[in-house]
Amino acid sequence: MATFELQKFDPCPPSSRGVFDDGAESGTQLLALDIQSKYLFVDETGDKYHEYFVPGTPDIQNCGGYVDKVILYRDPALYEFLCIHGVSRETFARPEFPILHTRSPKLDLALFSLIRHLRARPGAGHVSLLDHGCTVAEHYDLLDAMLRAHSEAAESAQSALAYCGLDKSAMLLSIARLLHPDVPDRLFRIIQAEGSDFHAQDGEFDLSLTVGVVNHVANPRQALKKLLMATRFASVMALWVTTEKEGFWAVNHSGVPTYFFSRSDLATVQPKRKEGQFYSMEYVPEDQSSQTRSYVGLGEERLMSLGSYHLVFSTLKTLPFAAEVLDL
Amino acid sequence: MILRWCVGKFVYVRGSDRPLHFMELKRFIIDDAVDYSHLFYLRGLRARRADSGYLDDALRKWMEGTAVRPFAEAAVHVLGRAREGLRIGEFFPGVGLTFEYMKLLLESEAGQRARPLTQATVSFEGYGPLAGRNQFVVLHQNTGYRIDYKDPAAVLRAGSDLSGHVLLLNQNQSVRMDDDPGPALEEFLSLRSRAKVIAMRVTTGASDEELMTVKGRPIRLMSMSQLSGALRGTRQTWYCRHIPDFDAGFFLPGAGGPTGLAIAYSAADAVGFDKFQAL
Repeated sequence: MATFELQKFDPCPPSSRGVFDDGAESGTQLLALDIQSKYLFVDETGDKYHEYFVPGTPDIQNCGGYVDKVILYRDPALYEFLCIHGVSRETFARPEFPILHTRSPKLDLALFSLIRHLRARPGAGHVSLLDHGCTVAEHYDLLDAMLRAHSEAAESAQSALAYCGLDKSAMLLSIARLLHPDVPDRLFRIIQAEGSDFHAQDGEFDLSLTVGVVNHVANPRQALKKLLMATRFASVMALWVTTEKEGFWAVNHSGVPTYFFSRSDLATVQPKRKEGQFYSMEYVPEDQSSQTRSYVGLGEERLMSLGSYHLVFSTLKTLPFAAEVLDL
Repeated sequence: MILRWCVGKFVYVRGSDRPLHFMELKRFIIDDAVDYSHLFYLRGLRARRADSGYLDDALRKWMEGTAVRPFAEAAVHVLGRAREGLRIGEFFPGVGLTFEYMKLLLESEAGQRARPLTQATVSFEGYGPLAGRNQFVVLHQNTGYRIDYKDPAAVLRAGSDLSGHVLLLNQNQSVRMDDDPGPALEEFLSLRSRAKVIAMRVTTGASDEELMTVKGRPIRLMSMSQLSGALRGTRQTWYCRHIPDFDAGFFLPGAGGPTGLAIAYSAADAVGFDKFQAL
């Protein structure tokens, strides 16, 4: 019987130049990709010894990632932590809960400040929030924890928000509803739609949120335009951009086309009839992100031109947190 | 033998066996994604919210790989005619898939019972690693059933009164999730309880064997014949179903013989059903 000594390896190390560095649009041929999620074992000669497949469909993988976030956000220890230390950037930077160092909670913190700002206005009712690409509505849970912790449980997501989640996945929307069974339908709407093909009236929502979803919808610029038009006060977003003059398409690890916005794209999506401007809260170069392997066939040099902005497009005269006007 | 390994998402140009791209996957995708998807599929059935868009062939295939259905069916079967005060305890419940399936089965048959089992008469206790507590509690709290989650060592300590419990040993789950093994089968069988159900990975050889999982954990599996002997040794009637080659790729080849899954149950008034045979 064989005994094994296992050594981890990287089957496809990054290189300075990638095969898709010139953009997926510039090729003259269609390219079919096969994507497999698996354990791979190779022997000393490099030959495949064994492979074991794990679920590879985006719905199942997204379910794993986002339900896991709900579980972390509903941890009573996190709520207690927020009660003791307060809901602030300083608290989020503390070491106790590494989940708070990640992108989405930082954006939720900005949303939390905006919700409080709007709720403080005389006669304010529920703040309407469009969660664009909501998956299982995990943002609702962190907002709930922050609102309750900040108000000694006088406030909650249910008392403060009229939530509307939009996603194209029936499975994830179904899970979103099952995870929030006690919130009445009028305060927890879900819409199944492709992210650039949804209908909303101008200014229908007080606030909106999108965490990179506008980058991988069918029509990214149209999606961003619609989102800004549908938002009355502020749209909080993570947006993947290129420092190059022109935006370009790449392919992500799930085989999904992904568009990197250029600054000129951002100038063109701004609604002309509306006041408001983009503010930047943070810029994360792609080579410093937590997952530098998100895009297929891009070399290290091309990755250096990419990054993600944490942005707010706001019509408010002042923002309730620090952010710099983005000069377009 | 030295093996190099990795786990993640491989992108190939169709027809090629050289990866164009590799991205490592996190544990919550490798281990938990199927169980979460499966759990909410079952909950959707309970809430009558599931739709045809949810259960695709990919999820169906992975759901079958958890083997929760035959395990939960056996667990509901051993409840027999019990009507109230039912306490169900599972060692290594993971995200609580077995409980969710049992809830679905109990609620589905409620209309057929003269005195149906209700949320007020059934409670679920998970016995697993502390790290899994929040996951289990978040996923099952506020669903109408009383739940609890305990350290298995505390449950096994002398003095724990489990004589009114239906006890489930889900060793299959602890192997899948790379949890620390235990309790040992003998320890579990020695517990006093109303009924017992087990799900265990076994070898089909003559004796126990040490294998290595794809996660790199060496694990000693009992043979099917050893398991049968241990169950007969309790002097109770056991009913068993053997699923040969179940999830066989989970163990590295070359280190042992063929493996499978055994599901068995025993209760005072139990009879055989479905594919379960008396030992």
